[in-house]
Amino acid sequence: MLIGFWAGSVAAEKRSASFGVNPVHISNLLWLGLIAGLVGARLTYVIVNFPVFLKDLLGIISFRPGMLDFEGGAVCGVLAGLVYGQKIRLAFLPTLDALTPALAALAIATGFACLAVGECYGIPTTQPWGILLWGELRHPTQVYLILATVAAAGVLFARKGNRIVGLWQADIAGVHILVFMFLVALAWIIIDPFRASSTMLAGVFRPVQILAWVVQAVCLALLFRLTKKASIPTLELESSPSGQSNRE
Amino acid sequence: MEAPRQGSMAPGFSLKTLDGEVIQLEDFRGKPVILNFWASWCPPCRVEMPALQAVSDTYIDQGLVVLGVNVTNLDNPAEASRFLDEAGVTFANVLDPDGSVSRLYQARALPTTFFIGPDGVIKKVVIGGPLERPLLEAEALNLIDGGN
Repeated sequence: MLIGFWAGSVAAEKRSASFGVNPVHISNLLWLGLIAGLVGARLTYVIVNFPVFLKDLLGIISFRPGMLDFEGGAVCGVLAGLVYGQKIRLAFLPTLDALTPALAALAIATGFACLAVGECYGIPTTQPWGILLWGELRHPTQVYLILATVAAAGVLFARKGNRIVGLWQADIAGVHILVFMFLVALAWIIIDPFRASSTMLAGVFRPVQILAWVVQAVCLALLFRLTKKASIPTLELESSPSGQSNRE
Repeated sequence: MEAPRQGSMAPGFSLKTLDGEVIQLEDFRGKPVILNFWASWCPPCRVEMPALQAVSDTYIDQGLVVLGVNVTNLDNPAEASRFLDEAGVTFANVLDPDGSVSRLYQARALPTTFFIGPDGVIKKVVIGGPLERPLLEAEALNLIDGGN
């Protein structure tokens, strides 16, 4: 996970200038989010279990990773990022676009981490590419998600020699993050039925797929709005020598 | 599915204590269990043993079971017994003479601790140590409250 964070932050800093975002700001944003996330995760764990920490206050500053609350940490990390971004007046959509490589790297790293510890595994299968885990041959859903994220990143950042052929050159703010989220949501719709932990509602619907459909719909709506806004010709008023205004 | 991972049923086993008494994990179904794999030569195992004893003493009346598994194929029963006496440990400890249970639980690093709910499902796995008392108490309370 740390390697993924480092790789993602390097990639995000490298490309941020193309989105009009200062690489230093992106680096600060990512590291602030990480530190705030870790501190927030520990504080949340302490608050939830405060009575036991009263007997051993030094336990609050332990380096043990087991005493971390993931949800609390995620909220604190995101909030810290938003506050920092607002304070230095970062442009929201270009910043999200600049962070897209970091999100892709983190998602890929998460897939490898799950594979390493045997988490996020798939349902049993007889396919030759199944991996032996917990006593059965299973779909390598961790690998499927890694490959899907790499493919999504490829759509955005593909290069052919020195030429950029991916969506990289799209100059509408917000396109990169929205396309990336759309593609990742598509991957989850396809892969979720193969996950062992996938749940069903009323034997028909999978909540993860429903959520992914919603994400896709929102992304498409926003993409449509952004591209439509970008294609509306601008009206400029020019003063003619006679003092009357003309419209283009 | 039985597997030594969070969310799965804890694999069953049957081992003997230093006194020769047979203990099976299934004996404790319906009670929260903290299962700790250790060896007498393992420094963090030795450091965390008093905390495990303290948690056992504090929550035994609420049904908590603390069960130690000495990885005897990598240790010495005499050394293990001496360490338990010196540390004043009174909760049950069993010997794993051929390492089969530690392999079953994939306890490749010592200590490794499993927090098992009254339903027999592993709620949390902590690899390494020493475990601090706040963590042990917090997770013990989660196990106890989860069963109520």
